[in-house]
Amino acid sequence: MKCEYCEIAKGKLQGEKIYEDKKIVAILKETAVTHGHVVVFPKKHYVIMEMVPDSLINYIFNVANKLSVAIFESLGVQGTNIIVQNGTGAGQKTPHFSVEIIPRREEDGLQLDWKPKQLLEEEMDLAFTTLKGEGNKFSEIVGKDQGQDQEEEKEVVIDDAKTDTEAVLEKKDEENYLLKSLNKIP
Amino acid sequence: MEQPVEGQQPQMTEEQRKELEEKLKDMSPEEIAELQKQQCIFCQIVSGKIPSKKIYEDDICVAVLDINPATIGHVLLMPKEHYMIMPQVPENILGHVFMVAKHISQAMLRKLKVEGTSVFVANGFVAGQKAQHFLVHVIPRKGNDGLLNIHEKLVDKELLDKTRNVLIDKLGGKVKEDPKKPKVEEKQEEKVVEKEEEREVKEVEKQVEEKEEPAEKEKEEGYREVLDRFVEEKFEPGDSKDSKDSEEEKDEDQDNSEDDKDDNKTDNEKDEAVDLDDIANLFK
Repeated sequence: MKCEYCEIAKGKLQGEKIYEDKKIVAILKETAVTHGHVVVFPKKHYVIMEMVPDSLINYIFNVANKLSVAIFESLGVQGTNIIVQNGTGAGQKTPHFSVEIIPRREEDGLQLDWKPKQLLEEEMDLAFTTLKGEGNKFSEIVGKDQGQDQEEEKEVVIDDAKTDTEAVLEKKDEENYLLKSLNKIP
Repeated sequence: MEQPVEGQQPQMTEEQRKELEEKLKDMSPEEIAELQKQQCIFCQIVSGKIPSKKIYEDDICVAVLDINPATIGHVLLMPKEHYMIMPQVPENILGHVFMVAKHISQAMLRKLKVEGTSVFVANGFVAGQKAQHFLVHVIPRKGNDGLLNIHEKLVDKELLDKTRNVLIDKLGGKVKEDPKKPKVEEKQEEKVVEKEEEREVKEVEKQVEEKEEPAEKEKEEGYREVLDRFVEEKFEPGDSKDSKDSEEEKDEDQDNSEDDKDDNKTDNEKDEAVDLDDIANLFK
């Protein structure tokens, strides 16, 4: 299945782009929750938030904030909601991580409020201990989680940095290895 | 940082209010900010004056379990510093808060056996912001919980084009800054992109870039307006607003509901569910 957002990012699909840079694209949605609904997403294909490297999260939310301010000022709205729907259970519709910025006006009829749930103390405690345990774990890695993709990029850079002679040497080694392994065959 | 706001304490008696107003007049902005902090429930949670179930804390932010949760495990994430709305939050703090939000969401997917998470920010009273402290909600989700029920509808093409142009104009140059990257690098990247294909968006941005400084000022005023509105609406709900949006009415005319779309959605969801399962396995 083709990913709608990837197609837009590559320019294959016509989207109402309002902002684009090397990492991200922002489009105005044609089917909108309220008029002026903007979606920001990374050009690279990440299905859910957990796959996105921290540095990109940092960047994309800062852009989202600026977009939200721009929407405030130029569309004369009274508020914005910034929502990430992460996973089908959360109502995610496109399998590509995105941040939705929904302009809010008085009497737009949108009901995003929730009724507070009455929980048993045990339920609360269980959630607390579970999350607290995880919280302790990730406290050290926040901001350092660069994801797999960054590592890949680094590797590529290193490859490029190798001089020609090194590359030749490597090839020779490879050949030698092949020769050796050939020699080993009785 | 905060603006002095009069009439901010509706529960007070007349005398108290007058007293406060006089005090506010004499106070410096710093003192007023301090006063707001003292009155902010979430600042008291941060400082520990109000007991809470903190699941995460670092130098910049604190995450607690919401005592009025939408679902089990609903987390409130807030910067330690007092900011009323998102535009006030400095870039590095904002970025950090959302990075933490990501990790919290990850923890939920791993440990709470949920089908998804929602990261939710309400910016302004109209958007459902209730606290006077910038908060990020991270909510564990299950398909049938009926939360954040948003329906999309088709927007009039003309209106869409108009809005698009307005936004592109507005965004020119502003969104471009990448806090972490040196500027030289950025320019190089731009050139590359331009060589590849000259995009309309880029051109428009460049034109507006020159006007960046006045835009900056506008920005600040925009914040103030938002702030004031937030405060006004919080405490004087009777006031009618100057409605700039005649456009909005048009929008509502476009109500032709998109039931047909639902079929497509379910298809998407099936495909996606496979992906998500794979990811979930990675986490184990």
